[in-house]
Amino acid sequence: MAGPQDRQFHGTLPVSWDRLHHDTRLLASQLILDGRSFDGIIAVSRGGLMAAAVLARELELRLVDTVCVGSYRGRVQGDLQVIKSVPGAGRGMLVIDDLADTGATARLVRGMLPEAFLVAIYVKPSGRGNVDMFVTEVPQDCWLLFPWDRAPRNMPSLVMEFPEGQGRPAEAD
Amino acid sequence: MEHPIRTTLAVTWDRLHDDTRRLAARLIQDRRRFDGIIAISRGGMVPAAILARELELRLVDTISIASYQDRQQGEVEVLKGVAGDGKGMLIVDDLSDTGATARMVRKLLPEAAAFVTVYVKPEGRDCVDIFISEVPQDCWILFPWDTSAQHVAPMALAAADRSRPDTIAD
Repeated sequence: MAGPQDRQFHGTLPVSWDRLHHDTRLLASQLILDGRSFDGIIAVSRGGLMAAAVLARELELRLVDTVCVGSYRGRVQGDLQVIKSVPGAGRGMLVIDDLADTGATARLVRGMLPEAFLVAIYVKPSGRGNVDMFVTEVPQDCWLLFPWDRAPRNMPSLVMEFPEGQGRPAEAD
Repeated sequence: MEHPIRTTLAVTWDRLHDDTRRLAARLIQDRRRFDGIIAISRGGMVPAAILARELELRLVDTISIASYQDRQQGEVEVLKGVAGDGKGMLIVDDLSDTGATARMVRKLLPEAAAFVTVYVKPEGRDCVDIFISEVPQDCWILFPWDTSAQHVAPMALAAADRSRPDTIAD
């Protein structure tokens, strides 16, 4: 995976499990407030799996399916490849992904499941118009570091890492 | 056999992540290879997401089962199955409790490469190929998707409240 040298991204937003749980519950409450009900949920794998588990629990949905789309190569969205789809047009189904970034995956999934209600927890400006509902928008050049991509590692103190003001702390991003 | 629930174990997201990564490490050490993952929904969804990420598996399918009726394991019903006999697939659930779900899924997918759970209880232990932690049969595991951080009274005050004698033990 690409690192901080990747100039395309100016900031990294680490998303913890608790934060993602909380944000997904916000999405669930919005769906309930809007009076929307669904027969089941389709996770866009892999990013949407955890959010789908949370939504399914909150909305009391037992039917959980997946569509599997391969896209990211490191931090760059490459060609999309459908590895697994679901039969039908998605009628009555809630489709969930973690993030609508460029919107490419959302457009592809929308094409496969035109009758489904498509949501994402996070969106970037380019992807925002491709989903029916989301919780939080982040800048296009912000890299979301999702909890399954993180593990606790030892880190030097900020002073050790940036002596005499050389470079700048990641927290300043 | 039914066991009254005597203790609860609250598993945090980070704990579940760490335990599931240990499960992934075991699978890699054992040089097991899989074509994809089948999550037993809903409990196996998050472990499946973590295993799929660590094992670089892109194919993630589900088998949707309704089993727990509150705290009793009741009737098991398949709402969505998977095509085929599970050949080459890794089947994942969060917990093997009585083993009822594991036995049924193994029957549905007899060729699955492995059936793993993060946690087991004694009755369900023999139904899985690999697990990480065993908890007593009478222990109720509170998974992170079933909890949210709430305000709690200081323990000393809770102890004084005789109407809630179990508050401390938890």
